[in-house]
Amino acid sequence: MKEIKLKNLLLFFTYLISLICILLTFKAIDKFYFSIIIFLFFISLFFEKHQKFCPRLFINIMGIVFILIFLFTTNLSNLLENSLKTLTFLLSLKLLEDKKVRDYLEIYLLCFLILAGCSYFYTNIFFFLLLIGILFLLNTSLFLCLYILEDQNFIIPSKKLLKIFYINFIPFFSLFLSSIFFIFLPRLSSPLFNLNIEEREAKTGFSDQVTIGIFSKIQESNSIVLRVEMEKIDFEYLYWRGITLDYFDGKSWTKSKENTLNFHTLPHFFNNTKIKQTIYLNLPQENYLLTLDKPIIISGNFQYDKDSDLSIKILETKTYPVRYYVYSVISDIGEEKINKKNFLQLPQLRREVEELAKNLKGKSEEETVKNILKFFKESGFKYSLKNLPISTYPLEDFLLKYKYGNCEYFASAMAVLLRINGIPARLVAGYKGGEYNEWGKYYLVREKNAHTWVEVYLNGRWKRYDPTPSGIILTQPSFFKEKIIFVLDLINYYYHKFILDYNLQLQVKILKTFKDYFTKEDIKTISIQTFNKTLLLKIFLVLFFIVIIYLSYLNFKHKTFQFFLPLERKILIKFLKTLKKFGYHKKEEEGLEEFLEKIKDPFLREKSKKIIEILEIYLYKDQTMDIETYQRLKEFLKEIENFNYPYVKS
Amino acid sequence: MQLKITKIGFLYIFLTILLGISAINTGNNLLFVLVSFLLSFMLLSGWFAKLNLRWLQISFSFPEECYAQLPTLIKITLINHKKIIPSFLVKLEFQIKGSKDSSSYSTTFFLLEKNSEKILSILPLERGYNYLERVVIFSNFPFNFFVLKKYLKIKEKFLVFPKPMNCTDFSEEFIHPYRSEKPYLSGEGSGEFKEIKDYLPAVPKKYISWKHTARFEETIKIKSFSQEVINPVLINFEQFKVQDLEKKISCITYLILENLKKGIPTGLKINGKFFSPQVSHLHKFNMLKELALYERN
Repeated sequence: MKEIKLKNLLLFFTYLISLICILLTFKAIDKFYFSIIIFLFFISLFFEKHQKFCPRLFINIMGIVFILIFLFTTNLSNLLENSLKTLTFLLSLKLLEDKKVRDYLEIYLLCFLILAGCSYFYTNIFFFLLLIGILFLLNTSLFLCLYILEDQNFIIPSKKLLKIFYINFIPFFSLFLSSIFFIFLPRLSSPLFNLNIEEREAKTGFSDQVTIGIFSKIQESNSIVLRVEMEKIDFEYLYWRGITLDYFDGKSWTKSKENTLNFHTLPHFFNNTKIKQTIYLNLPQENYLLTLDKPIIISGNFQYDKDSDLSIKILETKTYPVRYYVYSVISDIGEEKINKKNFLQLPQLRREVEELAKNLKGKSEEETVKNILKFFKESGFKYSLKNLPISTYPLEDFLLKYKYGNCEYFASAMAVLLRINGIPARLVAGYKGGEYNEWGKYYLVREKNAHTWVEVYLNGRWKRYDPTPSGIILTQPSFFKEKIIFVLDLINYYYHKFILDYNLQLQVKILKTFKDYFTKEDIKTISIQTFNKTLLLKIFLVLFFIVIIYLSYLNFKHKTFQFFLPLERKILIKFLKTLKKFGYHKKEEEGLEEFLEKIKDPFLREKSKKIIEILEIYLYKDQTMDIETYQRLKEFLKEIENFNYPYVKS
Repeated sequence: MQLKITKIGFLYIFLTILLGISAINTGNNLLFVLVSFLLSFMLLSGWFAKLNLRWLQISFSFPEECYAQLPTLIKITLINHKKIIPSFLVKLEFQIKGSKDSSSYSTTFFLLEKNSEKILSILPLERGYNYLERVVIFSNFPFNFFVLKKYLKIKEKFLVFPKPMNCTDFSEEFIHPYRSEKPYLSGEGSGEFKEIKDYLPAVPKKYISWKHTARFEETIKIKSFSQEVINPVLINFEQFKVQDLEKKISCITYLILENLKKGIPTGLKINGKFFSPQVSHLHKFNMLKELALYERN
């Protein structure tokens, strides 16, 4: 029979766990350190193969040196990176030495801490699944350590190896139990010690300025920026507003003024149809929130500023993803008084551009806008993300020379042409479009949806115009592959919704729901809207009463619940139940010996006598039955049950 | 059941608290997930450890003949009554206690599916009844975070015969020839050669005469020997003049064993009891039991 050395299995698991943890730090630590650590990892594999190890003293000294370096170079702002760097380095050092049980445990501790640290860098469900996988591996490895502790060279037949994996019942059941802990563990609304770790997330190309031509790479990225839970609307209204930009220096657009305005007080919004959105913003957008154009009401578990140009900025540092609720109107917003001068600013431009603008001037402001849009459509302008004209005068080169570019070129050009003609205009940076997930009822917006458009001030209102040629941004998935991506994203979405986004507010809500269910006053106030909840409560109560009644019946029948009975009482009940099948019913006041007299069949009588004799020792002499006797009596009972009694047959 | 947390266990608790504080402080839900896992592991590993030691049945088998201060093998059987789950790394500890001294033994059952047997060498210290006491099963399953102990209410006794000791110098004078009404005859084949006979069933092979069998072809022939008259002996315990009682008992035990091994019927007079000389196993057992329990309750 093939045999397996448990130590080899343990080594395999240990190296596998270590490698995964090391690879996870790729996103978090310096690439130079990362390559050293990977190098050390392969050295340790080489050592392991040739059974030659680094002296323990050398490793200890190196470890101490690294901890000292960590202590001297760490401050609150780089605590996480430095900790991860040090932990990973210590791990790779640990792998270099000849491993005893203690060393294995140290390796697992380091891996666990690395995992905890890495949790700040990954928001994808795959990290979560990997985490669970590693916990299973750690569980098995810790268990194998027990055997190695007993015997370094413990060998197990390969057939019995599977039994070892029974240990994984523990993490399996932990999955369910930990969900309860997860819901009820205490939480805080804000951190006690702020370690500045919320900015560790990967940053997007979204910036508080738009520089012509530099975002083309972002528009090819598939990273998810936001998920928006809302009803499906027409594609042409899917503009996700980020920041409004009004100052142009010839190359970049920036925001010049920020005026706080309370949207709640604007009366003219109330007549419009409002679209409610629950937004999960995955990646930070320079602290600006993305909303469906145009937002009127916003609420979230954070402080924010609402500017008059409809940009919303978070005032506190947050861990992403961030959840907030928004009401938007998709029609044009009401009249607004502005200082036109602020939106007519222009840099020094070439004469040809000014001449071009003047040529496009119509009789009215509306006509000028139409002329400019027509100009882009009919003068051979093309949308492109490649080889964008980046020069000292990118805008002029785009308009007069190259005639191709991305949304930034088109939007900037239109805004400039409008401003030259004295029409106030501004740029809005955000995202356009998105894929609607029919199952999850949400829009998925990716980095590639990044977009810039123009807002023109006409007749006292800001109107949205998008000069970029349409049909570039992907809309609905039509292929099987993309449908699979949708399902995967749906899982990821629920992961974000229920795990990553779980917070004190939700916890309080859940606790309140529990409280409401069990408080009389609150039950009265349950409205028709919460009908489903009431129904659930009723079903729960009915089931609860059924269980109570059943338990009471058992109690009445056997004087006490069978589950809690001692073994001798349990076997007595089983014995009497079995004999009842053969037509022998023991009366309440009847003694066991008396009952035995009633049994006529010699086989049944003989077996019953044996059982009663043993039972009497335990029932009347106050002794606790041991398992051995209990098993023996059960075998007797089995024999009785298998007995083909003629009475039963007929 | 008794639970003792190990150093690793304390470290685990410390780690859980540390991560718990970090999770609460930062609000990082993945840390909350890890802490929830650690807490669940803590709870479930306790439950699994309890289950590991539950529904186990243990039995000890002692040999019929064992002598004080001579190693003897005992059989320990551990039966797992759990239907699906095996028991892992169940360690067993027990004490063998005589009238004065006791000694401890331990063994480990690495993987217990249904039942498992272990043969363990023990050294009974004293003659007389020895008791199996303080039977404890324990395990550091599943992660060595704690050791769970279960004390079993097992108290078994077994008889240990005295230690046999060769005392050839003075043994002769206390052995008396025993005259009985019927002469004791040795078993078949210990006397002189008598004749060649036909083969009878159940006759040991050593008596077959292959030479004669070959000569008579198909009939197997056996050698027949005359039976020898053996003088039985009687040992008088009280007359055995050795100051040290234990030594005296040991010497007599040796004599009995040696005589019976040679097939000499041996009797014993002790404590007012008389065991007439015989060679049977039961007779030997009775005499040795009497010696083992001499002046012992």
